[in-house]
Amino acid sequence: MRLTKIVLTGLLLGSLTACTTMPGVDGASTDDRRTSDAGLLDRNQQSADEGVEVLSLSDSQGLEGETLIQGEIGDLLADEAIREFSPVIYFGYDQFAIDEDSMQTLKYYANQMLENPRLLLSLEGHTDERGSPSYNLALGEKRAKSAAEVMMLYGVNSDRITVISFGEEQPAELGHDESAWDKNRRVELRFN
Amino acid sequence: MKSVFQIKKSLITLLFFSLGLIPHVVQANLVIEISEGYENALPIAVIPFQVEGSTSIPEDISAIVSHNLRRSGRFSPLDKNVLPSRPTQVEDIIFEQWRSKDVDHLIMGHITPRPNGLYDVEMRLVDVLRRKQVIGKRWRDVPRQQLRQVAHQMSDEIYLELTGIPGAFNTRLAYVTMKVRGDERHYTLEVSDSDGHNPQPLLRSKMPIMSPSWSPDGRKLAYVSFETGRSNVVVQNLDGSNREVLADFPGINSAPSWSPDGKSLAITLSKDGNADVFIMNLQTKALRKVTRHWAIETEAAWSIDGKSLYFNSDRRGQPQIFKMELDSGNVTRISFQGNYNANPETSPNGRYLAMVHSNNGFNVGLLDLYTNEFNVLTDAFLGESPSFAPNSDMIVYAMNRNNKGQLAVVSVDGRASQILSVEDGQVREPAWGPYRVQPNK
Repeated sequence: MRLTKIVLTGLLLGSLTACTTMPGVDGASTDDRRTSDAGLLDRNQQSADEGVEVLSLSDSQGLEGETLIQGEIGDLLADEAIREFSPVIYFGYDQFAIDEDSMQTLKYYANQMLENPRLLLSLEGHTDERGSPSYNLALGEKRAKSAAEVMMLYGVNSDRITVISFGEEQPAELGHDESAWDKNRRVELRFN
Repeated sequence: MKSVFQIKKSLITLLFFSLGLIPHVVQANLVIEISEGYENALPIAVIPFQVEGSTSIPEDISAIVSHNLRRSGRFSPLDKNVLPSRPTQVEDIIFEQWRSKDVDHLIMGHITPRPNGLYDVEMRLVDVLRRKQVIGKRWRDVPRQQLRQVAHQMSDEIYLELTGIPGAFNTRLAYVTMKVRGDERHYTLEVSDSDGHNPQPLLRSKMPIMSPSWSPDGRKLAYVSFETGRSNVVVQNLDGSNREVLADFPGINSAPSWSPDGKSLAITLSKDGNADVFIMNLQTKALRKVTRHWAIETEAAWSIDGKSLYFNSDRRGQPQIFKMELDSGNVTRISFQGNYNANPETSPNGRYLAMVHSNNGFNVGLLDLYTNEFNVLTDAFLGESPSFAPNSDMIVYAMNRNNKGQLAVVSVDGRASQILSVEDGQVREPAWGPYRVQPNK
């Protein structure tokens, strides 16, 4: 976590990510966004561990944003972090309940979003190929919505989350057996 | 014993909507494989049609008729190499020759190419026992590209005469093919003849296409396209005159089903939070919410009187079929066998409800609404998406075999089956179109 945060902070060049580590500061506050729109904020990294951060305005007209390729988190997350929690959660047959492992994954990415108020999340729900395609489209949406609810419980504003279902139409694995089906019953987290 | 007919047909791209999605791809032909029909298939003789003059005819009409009768499962046409004779006139028939082969009916005909490039086609159905012609019919000025259709039309008449059921050979199928090219998936919505010939693309996309549904007049298809990145319900005229996005609400937009009068479309939307069935008035686009439940409610199918909707709901945990009377809002459960019943489809004669049924594996189940008798019709891997022929006699469905999505056809009594596949790729989501010519009953 620590490593990731530093990498993130560095990349975003101080877009107020550090604020979220302050006690009592919750979520991606709109005040933060307003401030960062007005100019570049810098932070004092040394004081991060105390939970209090001294922020100062630096003189800049704004930053050049990098376009991220859809479906990739780009450079925002370190490889180590992705290895720790790959941005996908899996489900049991005909289930849309979030299991313990998935909760960990979602909590991790919810924190990333709280620390990076500009990140937007698209949750893509998928099912395995068994059963009726139109029912599966609805089931995929239910899975993605379950994931969205968890993200919201962890403090992510619903405005930042888009839910899409592909049902059984876009399998991750093309096989037709249990191991392929296990990998296809999933929600993918895509950031942009 | 199985036989395979490879279809070789040049591509006719009548309708290609330039959505800028992918460039032209050579059309895949459907391959038909006919499993042997039931044991009581009636022997019948289809004499190769006599061609007047020396021109060669681009379509083998008698072979098309013979294949049609064979794949119905009700008839067993004699191999043309063992025919005792090839009479071309009713007067030339030696009836004893055919009686000894157990053949009760003969089909014969003429094709006359005309100087203007058109053809006259004549067909006679002869009853061997009664020694008389029971159908005699001539089609005049048939263009070359409609010779196959004429063969299907004559098959329909013969089928009606011999079984009492109007044939559904002169009809079409809509379906979706998917091909993997490198990292890309290419989806095509196609329409073919009922025997898989003449596939024509209606939509190509790199994003999924689902759930084609025919308008009752056979001029339009409603379907689900993900071309915008998410599910939308689109209606498209087959003649290319119009294409319209009907539903692009937040959430899913899916499972279109035309009302019998063609004026409304039942669809599934989750714009209010979770999947529910709505009815859209196609003239005003007004929406009426039909189901209101926290569970998934989807896959509506109209009763033939248009007064009720069958739909799938998992309000009891797993999907089961329910029926709602639209006037009263009364809901009753319809499916009780097995732990999963989804995607109800009503037969055009109102007698049957087909569904995706699971009790271990997925197959097509058939509920007789008159007797409440339930049968599992297929023994397939991943059977789904059943759709009735307009004569209610056959059902086309999707399944998986040899690691490929394929279509199969089964008769409602389970006696006959055939398989349609594309050589390279998957084929799914079949929808059998309505009659192109209303039969005289």
